[in-house]
Amino acid sequence: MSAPPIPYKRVPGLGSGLFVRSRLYLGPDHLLQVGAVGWNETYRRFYFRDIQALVIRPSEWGKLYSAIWALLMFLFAIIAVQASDGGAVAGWIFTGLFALGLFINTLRGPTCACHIQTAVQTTKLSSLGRVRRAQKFLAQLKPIIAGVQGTVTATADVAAQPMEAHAPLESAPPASSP
Amino acid sequence: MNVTVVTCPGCKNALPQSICNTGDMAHCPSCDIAVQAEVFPAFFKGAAIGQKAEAIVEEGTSSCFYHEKKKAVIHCDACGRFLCALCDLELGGAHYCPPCADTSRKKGNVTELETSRTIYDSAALTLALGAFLVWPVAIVTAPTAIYFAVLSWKRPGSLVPRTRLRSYVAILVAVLQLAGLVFFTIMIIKNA
Repeated sequence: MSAPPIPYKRVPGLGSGLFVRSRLYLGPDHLLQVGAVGWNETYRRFYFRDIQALVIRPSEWGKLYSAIWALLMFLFAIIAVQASDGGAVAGWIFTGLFALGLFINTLRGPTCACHIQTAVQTTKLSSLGRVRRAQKFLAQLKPIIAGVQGTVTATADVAAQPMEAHAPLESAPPASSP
Repeated sequence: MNVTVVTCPGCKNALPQSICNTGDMAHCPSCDIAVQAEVFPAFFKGAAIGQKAEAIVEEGTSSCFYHEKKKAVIHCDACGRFLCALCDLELGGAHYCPPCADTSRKKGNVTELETSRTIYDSAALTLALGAFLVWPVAIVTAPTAIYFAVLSWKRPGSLVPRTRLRSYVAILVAVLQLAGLVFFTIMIIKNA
């Protein structure tokens, strides 16, 4: 008998690389990062009990996207003005499309890089590419992690400057859980 | 000693505690770039330490199958062998010995151990739609797309929720392509 499917809830956002599409899902006890390459899906799990930190850093990519959209928009606007009949219509259609792209990009807000840290790895969450979305996700994640790990105020006093946590590894099991 | 540090993604320098958990963006003192860092209690606890196996002190106590001098604390849910705390691997509420966990990973029996899956309905749809680019190859890709679409119903699909829409669309497109191929073949034969 096969195990019942794990109920996953999709976290809004899609990270796109050259060949990889990345999505994030909330599971009952972990966060699942799904990377799709062609017909294959790869999975990375971050258990709520293991998540140590989430770092959001705004990036300049959003400004670059806006510049590209604006440049294309003006380029096609010039073509539309100088062309006649059919060419002008096509030029204005493309100008409108690029203006829409610029508008949507502006509406989505500034871009960012979001990293998740556990004791053994720091991974970029590609699907959280906008500051607003990443902060919304963080607000969603905080109570879940507080439910599993407790609150940071109880344990933060032991931390030194700069933030360092010492984790002695006395013994290791024969095989580690994923 | 394993030391973990919350670092700035920009300059890779350690972030001071004063700019963490502020609930908003703060500037990294090293590179002056805005950063929002949220640190959770697991950070202060560090990496989880594996349990030590207890030695047998009483006569007649069950021992671990793999370590005969260690006390058994649980049995493997797959093979039933007694295990000490060191050999016990808990995955999704079930307990396994290391060889069974490895076997389950290879067979794909334990979802928690799966790191990748082939998504056949995506393959079917790609083949079905891809044939439009090079039309004659549909004679090969259309039956393959139908095969993959049917296979996607039988094989485990994505770990995350997904509808069967892709496989239905793939079958529909592939059947239409085959019908088109048959129609054109008949037309060519008639004209000849």
